[in-house]
Amino acid sequence: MHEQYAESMDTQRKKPVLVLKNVTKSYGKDRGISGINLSVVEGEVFGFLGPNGAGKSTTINSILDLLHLNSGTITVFGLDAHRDSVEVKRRIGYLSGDMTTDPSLTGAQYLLLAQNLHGNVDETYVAELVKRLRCETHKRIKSLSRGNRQKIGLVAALMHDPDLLILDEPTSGLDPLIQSEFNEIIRERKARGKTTFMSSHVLSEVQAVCDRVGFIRDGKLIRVSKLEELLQDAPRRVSVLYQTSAPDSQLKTLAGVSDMQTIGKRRVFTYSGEYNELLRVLGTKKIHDLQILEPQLDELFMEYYQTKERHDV
Amino acid sequence: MFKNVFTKSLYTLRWHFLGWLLGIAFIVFLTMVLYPSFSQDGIEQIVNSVPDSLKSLVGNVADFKTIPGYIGQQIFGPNLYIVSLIMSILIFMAISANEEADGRLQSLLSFPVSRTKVYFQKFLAANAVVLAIIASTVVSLWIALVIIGESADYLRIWESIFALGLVNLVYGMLAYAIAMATGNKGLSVMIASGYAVGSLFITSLAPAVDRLQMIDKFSLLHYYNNPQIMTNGLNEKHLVLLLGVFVILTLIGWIGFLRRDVRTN
Repeated sequence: MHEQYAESMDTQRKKPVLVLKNVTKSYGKDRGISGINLSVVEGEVFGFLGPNGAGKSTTINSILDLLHLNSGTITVFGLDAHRDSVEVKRRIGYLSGDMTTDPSLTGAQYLLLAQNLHGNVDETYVAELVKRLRCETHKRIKSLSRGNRQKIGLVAALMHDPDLLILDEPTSGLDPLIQSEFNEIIRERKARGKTTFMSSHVLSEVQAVCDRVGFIRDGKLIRVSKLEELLQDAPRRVSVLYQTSAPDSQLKTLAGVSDMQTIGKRRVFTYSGEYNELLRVLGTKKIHDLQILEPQLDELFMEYYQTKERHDV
Repeated sequence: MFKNVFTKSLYTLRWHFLGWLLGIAFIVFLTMVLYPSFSQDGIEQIVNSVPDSLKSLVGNVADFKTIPGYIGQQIFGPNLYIVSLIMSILIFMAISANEEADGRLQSLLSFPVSRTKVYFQKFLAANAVVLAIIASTVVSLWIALVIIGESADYLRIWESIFALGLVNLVYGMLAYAIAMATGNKGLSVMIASGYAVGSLFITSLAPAVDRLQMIDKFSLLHYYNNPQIMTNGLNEKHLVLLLGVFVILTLIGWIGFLRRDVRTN
């Protein structure tokens, strides 16, 4: 408890890097974002989650001043994201989910252009990134696979060691080795006090690198929480192997049990209730093996968005 | 080549530049080396057989008899500007609406570069490419004149090139201004090419059709090579009008681009 309080105080003391106040951007009926309030602090890795069309990219494009707000303000490093957009973008690195540039350029030509547009880029660092992400810089962009294009885009976003890295579903198409290298780069940045704001569908990636996550649904930010707090409350998968028979009737009526599967003498289900009560019910029959699995962000994600869909139906 | 948006835009337009340069140079060269055949008496009969309404497209018989008349009508007339207007619209579209439609503009604007810089550096690149292609016609003309053993007033040729370059920039700028102010590729193609085709027909037919003469005032082609620059010199009022339209379109495109959302993927 004391540790949590200390950490919370620590977060409050850190300088806010990205602040969204009552941000609304509408494209017409039921589209866009509405009343978004959010603050991301220095050194934080923030995960921005939501299904397609929830408003993740609209939020990011508003930060980059590609979209003009209907109301609200966005400040980055204390500067107005619209009025001071060039100054803001000097300190930002950005990669979209599908890196796009002139397809006839080679990777090296694109990186040279990015280097000139950013200015003040350390070429040694660029070479290091190219090596770490195993980029094929001699090939034309049009001949590269999606994953290889994304790697070039990542180098362009990281080359000036930006204070704030904004990534919109950045790892689409990356192989597991590069994905792991990417996670490592994000952690290294964090250790140096650099901030990252990323939207993603790959929840394992968010779980691996993010400190806090925000859930957006229908253009509204519905929850922002530290990852550990979020996972603490998250439902867990429970797997029990019985020696003879299972207390099925008690399990089915126990509050918090859902998605029950029967595999021989094993019962696998999701649980989000009191653990003393669960252990009492499980212990009524002789247990051979019991596993309570680490909570996964996927479960929470599904709970948020499936609940909404059920309500809609 | 990749120092800034201007040089990058020149790189994007490199194939346009080469292709149109060769194509237009070929048209100019071929038209000019055919002058001796056209200047013979037989052509008079053919030209006279053309209906009055199409005479402005073909030209006057007298124009085929002299070098200035021939260059003014056949080189700097509809034969060339029909092609060059298409070229200008395509070049300006290539660095504006086309780049926005496939997400390249979004990517470019995520770098620390202002919209004003993007707008004017692309604008300068397209202007430079169009003007370079139009100006290169002087080389084709010179080679062709040497081959057929004729000479011409190069001051008048440069004046004609200047006016042709300007009218091309205005039509290209119309496409660019709409594309940058709206981000709508279909709309900019439709308006720019529709206006080009419309003004071409109206200006061609107006001398023979009285009712079109009023509408012809709204066609920018009316203010180009009218009267023929090779024989009469530049018409300053027409140049000022074309320049004025060019500046207004430039401002409309710029202000529109600053105020709107960029298309995002």
